[in-house]
Amino acid sequence: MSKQVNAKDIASGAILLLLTAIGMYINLDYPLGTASRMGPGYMPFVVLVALGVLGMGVLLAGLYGTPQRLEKWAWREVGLILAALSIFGGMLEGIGLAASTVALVVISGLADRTQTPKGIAALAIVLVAICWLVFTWGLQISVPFLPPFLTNS
Amino acid sequence: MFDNLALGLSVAFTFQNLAFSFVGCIIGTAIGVLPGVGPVATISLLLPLTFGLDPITAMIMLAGIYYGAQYGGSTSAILLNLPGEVTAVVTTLEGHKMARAGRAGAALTVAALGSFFAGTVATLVVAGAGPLLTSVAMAFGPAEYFSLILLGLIAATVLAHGNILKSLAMIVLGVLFGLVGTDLQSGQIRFTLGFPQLFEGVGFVPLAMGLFGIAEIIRNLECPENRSGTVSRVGKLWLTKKEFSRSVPSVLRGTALGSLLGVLPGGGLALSTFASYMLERKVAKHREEFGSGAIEGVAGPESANNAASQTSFIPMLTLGIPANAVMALMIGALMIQGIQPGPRMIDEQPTLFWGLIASMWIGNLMLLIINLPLVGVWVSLLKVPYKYLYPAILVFCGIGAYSVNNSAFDIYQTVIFGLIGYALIKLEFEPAPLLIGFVLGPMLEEYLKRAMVLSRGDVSVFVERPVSAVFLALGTLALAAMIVPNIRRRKEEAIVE
Repeated sequence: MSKQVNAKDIASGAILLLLTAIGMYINLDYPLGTASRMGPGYMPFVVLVALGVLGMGVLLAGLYGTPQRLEKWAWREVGLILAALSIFGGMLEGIGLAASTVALVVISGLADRTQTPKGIAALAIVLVAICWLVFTWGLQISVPFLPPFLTNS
Repeated sequence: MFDNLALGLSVAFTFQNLAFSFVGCIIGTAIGVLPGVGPVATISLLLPLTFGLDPITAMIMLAGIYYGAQYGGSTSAILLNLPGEVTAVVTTLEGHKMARAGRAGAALTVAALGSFFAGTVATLVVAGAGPLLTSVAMAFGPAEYFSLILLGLIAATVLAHGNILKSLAMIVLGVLFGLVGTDLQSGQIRFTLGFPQLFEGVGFVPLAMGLFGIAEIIRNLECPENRSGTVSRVGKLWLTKKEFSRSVPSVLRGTALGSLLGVLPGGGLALSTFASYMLERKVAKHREEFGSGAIEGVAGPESANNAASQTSFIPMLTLGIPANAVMALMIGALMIQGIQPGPRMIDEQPTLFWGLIASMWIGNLMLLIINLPLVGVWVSLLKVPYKYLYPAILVFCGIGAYSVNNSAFDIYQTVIFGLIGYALIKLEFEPAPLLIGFVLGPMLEEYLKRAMVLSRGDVSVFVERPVSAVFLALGTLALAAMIVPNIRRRKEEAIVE
């Protein structure tokens, strides 16, 4: 690298500016109104201007600030944890609490390399039991516990 | 004031409220003690538990969770040397050294006793100052409110460490998130990207849970050193006579300092613990012990922390302005219950107002009763490996997010905010100002609109009305105080280079 810059701040500033641009584009649809009769687009416009100014400031500060590199992302952990939670959400209503909990535990369990299959199995069983006790029996949430197509037939 | 406190006690002393305060303290401590889970994360995770309750019981339970989480954080700080959040950093300094020397029990006891004393005094401060401040706030018009909220937002960055521009950007981003949904005046639907589930705005629980809960889990998985360590032995809980008499003045000083600083917008919590630690180190007779386990260094900051966490309720209860991220969560919880915190609350909801204040004290008492005898249970919780904890936390997050609206969409929102939260950590942004901006954003817009209607679009109203002008001046001063040293430092750095 020829010149050391604060890559974190430059990326941050760029993201803020990008958000500002997207926000401004969406905000074109909303009438601004006047200062005394503000339309729905007025406040977002003011806020977006502030965001843009700050984004520019962060970017400039990054160019002249203490050098810093971007950090590596833990993509594996990010992906597994977020996927586990999304799949849990997708399964919850249709397939029930028990199966969703097992799926979440198994998928999120992959994120920690020290897990063992035995440990995951035990954890899944314990958590399903706790969920039944707390949420199905105790708080009586509206989500089915077992898959509906098993219990209804 | 005592009549009101009696009213509050009568509300708080119903079986139901006592029970929920108790449960809140227990769960709060249980989650708060887990390494790497600070009070903000704890409260965000447990927020959905309170939604089925009536407002007063919900707030009482949340207050219990808050105190429990804070005390749990001190426990893991002392025994494990892992501060769950900034305020517990100070506790690790002397507390963990005491634990190394076999006096963990004494450190835990002095933290509990000091917190209880500080909590009692600070409850009285809240009861006294609350109504006073309310009557002042009742005279505020929209312009004053707008400036006050602006001051609150600026103050929220004062104690955020790191880059000020980035903290300000977080606030602004939070305000922007707060604007998503239906504009109340025109009915225009804004920034929903076509999702009908966003008509009512971005979900508060998914936002808080994602930013503070999910992002932290990923972070902890990434850096294993954040979450493991050797748990020290607790040892005897009793304080020796010498330890007791050394702690008393520190507790008193800590309480005074915390009660005062806690009221400051921007969250005097971290400030008060650090200030108290500095003070104790200055005035201590046994100065040489500092750094190797001085009991004053636990007693003072822990008392200050608890006093401040109590008095930080004052701006929230009287003005509706959160002093820190925890208070932002409390306001969010109240709004979900259909209550707008602010100066009218004391008259319109006296039982809620005074009941909450009384239950603060009860919460502190419960902590004292629960935590010391149960310390063995908390220690065993500390020993549960993280690899079993995080899937459990995820399951509860998922169900919690779902149960707010019985909608899987809220789980997906949580996922998105988890990703945003992790990105913020990676880019060194602070998530707390975002939360505060999110809570205050809609209020900011409403008061701005009202003030401008009244002044017929004349912006000078904000500086012409004296109270509003004072708020704005304070905000400008605070900003200048933050930015100027930064620039000076930069210049010096540039010269050195």
